[in-house]
Amino acid sequence: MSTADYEDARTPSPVVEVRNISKSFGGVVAVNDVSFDVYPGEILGLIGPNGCGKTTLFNCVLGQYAPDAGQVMLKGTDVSRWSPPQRAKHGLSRTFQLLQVFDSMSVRDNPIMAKQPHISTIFGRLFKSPDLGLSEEVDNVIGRFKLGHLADEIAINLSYGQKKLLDTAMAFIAEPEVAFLDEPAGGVNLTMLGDVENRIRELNEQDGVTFAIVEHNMEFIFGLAHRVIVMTEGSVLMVGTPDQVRNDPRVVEVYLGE
Amino acid sequence: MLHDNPVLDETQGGVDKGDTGRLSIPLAAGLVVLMAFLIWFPIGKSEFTPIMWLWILALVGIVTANLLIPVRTKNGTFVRLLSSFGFVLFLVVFPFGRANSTITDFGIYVVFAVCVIGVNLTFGYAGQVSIAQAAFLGIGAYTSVLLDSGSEVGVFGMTFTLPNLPFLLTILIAIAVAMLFSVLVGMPALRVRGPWLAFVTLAFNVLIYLVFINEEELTGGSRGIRVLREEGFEVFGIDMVPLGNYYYLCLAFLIITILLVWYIVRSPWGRSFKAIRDNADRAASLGVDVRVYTLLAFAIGSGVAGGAGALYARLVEYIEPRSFFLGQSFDFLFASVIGGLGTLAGPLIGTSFITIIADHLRFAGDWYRVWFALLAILTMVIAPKGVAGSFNVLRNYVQARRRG
Repeated sequence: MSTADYEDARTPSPVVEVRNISKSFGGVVAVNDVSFDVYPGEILGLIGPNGCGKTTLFNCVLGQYAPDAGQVMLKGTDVSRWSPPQRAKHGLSRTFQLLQVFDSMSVRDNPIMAKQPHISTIFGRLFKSPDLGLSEEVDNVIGRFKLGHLADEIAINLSYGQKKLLDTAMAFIAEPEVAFLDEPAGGVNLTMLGDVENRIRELNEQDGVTFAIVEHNMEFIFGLAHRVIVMTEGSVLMVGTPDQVRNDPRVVEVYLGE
Repeated sequence: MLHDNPVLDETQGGVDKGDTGRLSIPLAAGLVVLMAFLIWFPIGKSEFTPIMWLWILALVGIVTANLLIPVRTKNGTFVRLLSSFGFVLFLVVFPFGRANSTITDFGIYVVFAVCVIGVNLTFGYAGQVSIAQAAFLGIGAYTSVLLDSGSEVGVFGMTFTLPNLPFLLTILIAIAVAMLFSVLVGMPALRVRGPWLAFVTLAFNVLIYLVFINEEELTGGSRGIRVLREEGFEVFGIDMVPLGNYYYLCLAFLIITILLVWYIVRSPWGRSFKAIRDNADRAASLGVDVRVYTLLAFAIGSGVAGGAGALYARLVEYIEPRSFFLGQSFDFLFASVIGGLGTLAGPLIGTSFITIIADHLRFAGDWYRVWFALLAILTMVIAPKGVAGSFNVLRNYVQARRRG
């Protein structure tokens, strides 16, 4: 999907609206009055130098932090006061900056765990089969992520890049409205980087998964995103297509210094 | 640059790294020493000796079967079930022709194993430390004893006649009361992440002990209550006065508990428990209600201890507050750690450390606690994942070697 096609296909109503989010820690203003929308079917990139508040913003949107001000709307519903599990069940999934797979579980069990909260109720789940009938679907997914041969391996035995792929698989398996990825390329070597990038693009184009991606590897995000938000010192510096952002003198200044 | 880091550049393989497939020489040597110690120790101890041999044999059998058989094959599951069955069979056949004191010792093992399985569910699977398992054991014991006593008590200046309910019903009520208390204790403590449940349960255990000591009219205070299995004490029409019969009731409860926990742990609940233990924030971000699940694990783990308490009272025929103080709670915690957290066989192995093996150390008199502590430290140094956990490590190593 080229950027032009995507502009045409874009539906007018955003799936997630973030309105005027602010968050301070003590006297430090981490996020200052940030608003943005996520449209269905797009890959939204969020870039900025270290400490500009990207991850804090994610934590406010996903409910890990309570913002000092502002709202998060999911398909028109205000979810600002919902807990992270509630938001997850209604379609906001995420990965974390640091690796977050369940070490003691098998590679197959990790995505099952990611989908499990969306099936039945707590007490209903007690009487379901152990894999909730998800094994086949999950095997397909981990096969696409090149982890099929490791399905029975305990996750702690995976390499860093494999864990990163597994983490990404977990973020999308529950068919989220938006999958928020926090630095999917962080710490991944160059060969594996292409894998991560291709997998995300494939999920977006073939399965229609909407992504919002925080990253400070600029080349990675420019090759992937339809639209890029640049943050600096807690505020939005600019929003635009990768080309617009790449050529904007303000962005160059932020990244390369005065 | 980060991408040039050779450590992060390992994209192939991914098998047999990490500590699950690695075998350290100290661990292997330590396990051999430990097993040798356990086998050597009981020799020459009059009545216990042949039983202890059988006991050691059963334990060795269970771990050897676990060691040699791959987990994820149909045959493997069958053989593991068979070895567990053999272990249970040992518990079933051993009381024939034994002295009552010996049967009581094994009865206590059976009842305490239930408590340790409870701790293991809360701690080993859901990752929350409960230091009040003895309190729940006590709550179950007193609840059950008072509810089928039929005697009159005066509390708050009023006189009540206690009901005289059937024993099985009092077990169920004991479980319910223990679960109720655990929910009341757990609700505030589990609102936030961190070791708060440990602190709150620690305080709760002391509080419950003081209640047992001070509410003399109800509990008999520090003098305790004698609970004889009197004439006409029957369950399902079976005479439960003989210790041999009553022991089987306890054993049935243990088996039910094992099956219950086995079912829960392999169900989607078990997966949620493990997810929370591994990484609570990540679990929450996927939609797991961390509070509800930890509370469930804690309530179930405490509830089975309540049921065990009801059985314990009739087994030893005497209850007093000191049996339910902190030391006992720590023993349960210790047993679950030493046996192997998050394993099903672990509690069964660990409980023998605080009951049967501990009894064998009593010949040392005042030195008993010192020996016990040394044994505990030694075990933790050489087998930090507990006995069952270490055998899991060994088994993974053997499997990895076989795969080549």
